[in-house]
Amino acid sequence: MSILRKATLALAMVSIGALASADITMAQEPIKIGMTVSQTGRFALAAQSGERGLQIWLDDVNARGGIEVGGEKRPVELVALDDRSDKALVPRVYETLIKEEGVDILFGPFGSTLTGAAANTTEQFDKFLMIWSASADSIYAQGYRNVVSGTQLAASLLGLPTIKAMHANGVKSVAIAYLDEPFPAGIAKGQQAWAEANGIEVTMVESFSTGTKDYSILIQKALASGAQAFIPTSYEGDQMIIARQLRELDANFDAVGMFYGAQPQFLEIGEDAEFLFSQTLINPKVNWDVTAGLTRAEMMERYEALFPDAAYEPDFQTALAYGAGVVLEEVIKAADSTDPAEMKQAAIDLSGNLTVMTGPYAIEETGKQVSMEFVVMQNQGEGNLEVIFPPAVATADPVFPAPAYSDR
Amino acid sequence: MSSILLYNALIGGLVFGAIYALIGASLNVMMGVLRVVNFAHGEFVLIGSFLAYSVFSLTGLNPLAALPVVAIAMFFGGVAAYYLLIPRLRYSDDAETSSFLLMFGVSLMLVSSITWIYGADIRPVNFSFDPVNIALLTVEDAYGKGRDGKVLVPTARLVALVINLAIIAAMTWFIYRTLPGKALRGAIMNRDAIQVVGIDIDRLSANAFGLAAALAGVTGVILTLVIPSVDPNGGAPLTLFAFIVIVLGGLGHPIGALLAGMLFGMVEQFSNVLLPQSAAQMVGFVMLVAVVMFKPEGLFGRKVMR
Repeated sequence: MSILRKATLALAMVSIGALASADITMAQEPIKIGMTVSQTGRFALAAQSGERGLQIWLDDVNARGGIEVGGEKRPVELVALDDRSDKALVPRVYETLIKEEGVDILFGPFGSTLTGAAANTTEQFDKFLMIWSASADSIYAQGYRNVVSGTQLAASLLGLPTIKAMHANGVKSVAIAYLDEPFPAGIAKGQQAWAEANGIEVTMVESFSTGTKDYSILIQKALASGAQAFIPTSYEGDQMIIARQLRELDANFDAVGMFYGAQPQFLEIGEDAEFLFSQTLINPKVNWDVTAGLTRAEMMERYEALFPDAAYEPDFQTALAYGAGVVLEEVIKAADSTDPAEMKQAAIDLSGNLTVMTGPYAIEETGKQVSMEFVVMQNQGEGNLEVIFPPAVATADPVFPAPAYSDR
Repeated sequence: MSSILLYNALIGGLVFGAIYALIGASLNVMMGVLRVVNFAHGEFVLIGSFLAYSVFSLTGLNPLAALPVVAIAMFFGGVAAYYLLIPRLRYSDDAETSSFLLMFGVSLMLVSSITWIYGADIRPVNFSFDPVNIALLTVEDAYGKGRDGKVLVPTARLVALVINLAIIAAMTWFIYRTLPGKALRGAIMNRDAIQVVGIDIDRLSANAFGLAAALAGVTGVILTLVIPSVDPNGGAPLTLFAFIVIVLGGLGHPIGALLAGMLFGMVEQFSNVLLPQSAAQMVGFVMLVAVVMFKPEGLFGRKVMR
């Protein structure tokens, strides 16, 4: 065999070896993350908005080669199944994710109602559950070992910016109404407790059931209670209807708080969305010095690149899910493992030492998020959203009292 | 309690009662004539709402502009759906149960189709009348501390009520004063007997299916005025209301369904005033259970003697 042929053969063997080695690197077993995403039902809008946030994180983390565990980078793979917004279905689907899909870590579904159902199953199978949108305090009072809320502030604290902003503007009385489900109820009860402790008279507290579409009597009751401000808390679709019915009934309060009032979909309803006190944690005027993950502006760019055909801009659900993905990455890195107990300990150790796009991360030992407070926004006409609370980040003074509907 | 709340409950009861009445009456025509347990009836209503939303979002016109298009399209769509689906049920041992399962499948299919076409988002129908409301009367000291209150009716609701009542009147006239209407009533009373007098039951059933679908679609259009958003998953509660109205009014009793719808709307609204809103919803269902237990033929139905 000539030297040339020997050299060619050797080169070929080296190349094959190199390719095989590359294949081994590429074939690192992925970290499988399972979650449910509501494709239909009342949570579909928010769940899919959140899924897009998680996809941004997945795209970013895999572009960086994955997450380093045990000295090797492992890509991340998402297994997402539909839960049809049905809390009875959620435990079965999470069981499928764990037993049949063999996922390593679970990501929560949207909202407290579904996440409460998922957490039972993940605990039963001793899996780590990263929560991104469930705020009900009750979830964190169950004694779950492997549950962490990466970004979503607990419900009892979540609605406080609105009532604090109203208090700062001199509101003396408030009527509170809420959908009788864990998330809205948690927000309402937190607001009620804070209001009573800070000298605001609570003139009405009333819940309504799922499926309610006519709020005219509820609005009239709030008016009749003599309240200066009105805070009806529910999911976005309900709040859009309430906003419309407030105008139809010429129900003028000095301030109305609607949690979702700054969401892109909500702003589509036009005049009815004006002058509400609403909350968000994604706004061009709110930027944190992040220590992990993308900044807000970078995330927005990725969103446009990955989802050019999305009907709406990223909203706070997108931000919450993206932020929770980043927190999860940091937890896995710090634990250097996907073992649930080690991850939980790492999550506790990271508390107070991490800032992501949605704000500083801090949890209690229960896994309850106690940081990442929302800011209060007000649409001051024609979709001009301004931050009105807290004063440290406010971009405008609130329009208070809100102009009467007849003067708009 | 402020009297203004009672006035508002009365208005709300009329508006929502008329909507429940129309949904129930259309389902009753279908169930009465065809014995089809239409579990997709809420989705039929939803199709009307989404078509109204499409007309509004594409043209900026009043959603009511969709009424004639929806009525015609849903009628012929209903007739086509009848020939495609219903005659096959004859081969079943238990046609009513089979129809329930069939229409449950149709319901799922329609929800998926609407979600596929429009997405899962709740879409606002951001149309307003000018003026947005009409003041009926002023109630002195309505809110205490000398604060007067006006009983306001949103113009959209008033328009919805007027159109609804006109359709109900037309439907009543059709059923009691025209030959096809009498044939429908005959089919409801005794499906076999009317064939003896030469009525083509297949054709009558197809038309009844079309009429029920058209009425449901028209109700969906009107609904966008009262509840100004469309939700791909909003069909199931409407189906539930339709069945409640039928049970209350009496199966196969179109006028009973109209009266029961109005009654249910009133009870629901006054309960909202007198009870916490989350407890008030229970009252309608308590009434339903009571009727099933003590007057199973419905409040306006007649006992069938065999």
